[in-house]
Amino acid sequence: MNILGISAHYHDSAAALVVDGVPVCAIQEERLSRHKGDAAFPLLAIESCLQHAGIEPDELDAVVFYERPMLKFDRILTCALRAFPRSWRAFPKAMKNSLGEKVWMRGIISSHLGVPGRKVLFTEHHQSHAAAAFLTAPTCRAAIMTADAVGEWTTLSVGEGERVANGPTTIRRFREIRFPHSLGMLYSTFTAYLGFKVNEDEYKVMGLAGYGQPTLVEQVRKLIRRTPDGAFTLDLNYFEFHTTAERSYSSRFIELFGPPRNPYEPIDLDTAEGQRFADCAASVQRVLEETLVEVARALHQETDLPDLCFGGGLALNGVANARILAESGFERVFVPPAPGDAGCAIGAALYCDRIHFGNPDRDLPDHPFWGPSVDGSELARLAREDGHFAAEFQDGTLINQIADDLAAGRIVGWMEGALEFGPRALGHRSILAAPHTIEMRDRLNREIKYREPFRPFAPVVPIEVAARYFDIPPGGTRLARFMSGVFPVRREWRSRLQAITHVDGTARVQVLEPAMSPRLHTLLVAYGQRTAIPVLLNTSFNLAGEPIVNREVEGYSTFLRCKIDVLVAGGTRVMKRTSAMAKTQLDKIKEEVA
Amino acid sequence: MIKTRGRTRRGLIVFGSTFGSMAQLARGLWQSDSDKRWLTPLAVFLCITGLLLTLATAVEALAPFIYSIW
Repeated sequence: MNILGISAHYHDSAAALVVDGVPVCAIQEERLSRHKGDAAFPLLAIESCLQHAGIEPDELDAVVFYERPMLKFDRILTCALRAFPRSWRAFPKAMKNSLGEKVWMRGIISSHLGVPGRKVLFTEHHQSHAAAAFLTAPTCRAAIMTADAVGEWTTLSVGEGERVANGPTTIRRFREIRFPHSLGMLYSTFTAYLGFKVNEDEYKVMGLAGYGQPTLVEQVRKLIRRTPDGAFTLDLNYFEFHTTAERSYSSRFIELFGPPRNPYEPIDLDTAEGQRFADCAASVQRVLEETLVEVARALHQETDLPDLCFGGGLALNGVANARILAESGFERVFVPPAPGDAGCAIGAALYCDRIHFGNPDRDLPDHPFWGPSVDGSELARLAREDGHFAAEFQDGTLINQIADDLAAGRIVGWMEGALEFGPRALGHRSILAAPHTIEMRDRLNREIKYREPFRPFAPVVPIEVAARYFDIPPGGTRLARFMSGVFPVRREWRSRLQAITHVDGTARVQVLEPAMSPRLHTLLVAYGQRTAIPVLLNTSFNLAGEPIVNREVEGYSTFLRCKIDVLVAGGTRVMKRTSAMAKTQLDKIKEEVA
Repeated sequence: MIKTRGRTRRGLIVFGSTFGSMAQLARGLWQSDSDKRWLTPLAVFLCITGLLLTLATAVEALAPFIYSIW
């Protein structure tokens, strides 16, 4: 049975193809269209999935959209009428936005793919999140929590999932919290207040939080009240997101927290104003963590299960995930590699397969690599056309050469195998560098990523030595598999892992099992043999404002436009001439370690 | 390979599917627990408006006639 899952029209559109119960391809539209956060109907992604599996649209048994557009329209209409007359300005825009295209998804899918309307199915937004979190996790029975800004009506849901090997699957929802009461909207409101882009820059708030103190927690608690049943409500007097598209927060919000940040001015953490913004970020982060932990703790007490599957945009908050693991009572927390809306494409397709069609459960590969693959010979061809020296190596030789490059302080663009599905670069489209010095972090920020200096970089470490460098609690390695948890760097290693240690002494670490990415694992070991610290800085292979690279040509273009020294795709290594003369840091590191 | 269809053809396919979607919305509102039956006529009216606008965008020859309604 061939089932295509689609998510589109809000942010991060994507397509995923499930064949006989197993995903065969999943990709975000932005990786192909090259527009970051592309929300358009994912025609390129669909084509890529179908091409990968070698099937035609008429061979699809079902096409599943990740939410119910009419239910969403119902919410938009109801909220606009409830807020009337304050919503009169936003109402025509909202109607035009919805009625122009978004509500007619059945027809739009039919018209693009040529499949009959009866084959087009819909799941609920949070059902898709729940399925993406539970059905891809290696557990047979788990509590499920989903939380994001808003789906149709739901903003947070809790439930339970059970699957029997080769048998039926059930996903039950116990309760939900409905719009406008939303933890995601609370966080997004602060994202807007702090001068960042809503639905895109929430991770910057998390990064900024590390620089502040939660001194404004009491003020944030005025915005969100806990209810006796364990849920919460927002005090809507402080918000405007439910009445207008222009601004998320109200004048009362400004009275409480002070004037908002001008997005065009940099945050100077040495000034009182800059520190106030960092304190705001730290305070909302603290309240978000506490609320999620309490909801998760209540769910654990109710289900008494050891495993929690957590999906939705809020599951990208690694600090909150680590606290849920530590404080909720769950032994393991599973966060999929794409917990946000893009991941709903895979969730919707799996939900349709297991629940709608009732197909038997299948174990799924536990990795995030569902996209197109790279070919080293294509990189060699491109580089030679430009007169660059491209060397093609056997695997062992290449790994040794790259380990030498990294130890010499060179920055490596690393492309191998299939593209990751989700927002994190997990070792197949990564920029790798030595993680030891602050200079490396600053160089990456200044010369390659062109981004705010307060944003941290992530490390990757082999699973067998992870506990030596990072303070990972029991169950934490699972959370760190897809870089979904933030854990402390051990105090004694912080001075030697400066580039990946955040200001609060933590890191969003990726713990790598050899089976998930054998070449990267071998590279880490080889690097460890040279420097005595088998940890690398791993950041996404893209420039600011661009999506992560997909094909060799995009990697090569990025390599040319910034100061990456070495580019690797498959077995091909390309090096910039100037980089060959870079200062060797190997001896310095060896000295330091000794 | 996905066959490329003309804008008009796609517009007409979307138009053809809208009645089912509208019926689904109306049924949902009519049967809702939260007593939103009163919303049904407004929702259907807005959907028909959207439908006409979709048709006007897809079949440009009809656009002057449709826009003249307003």
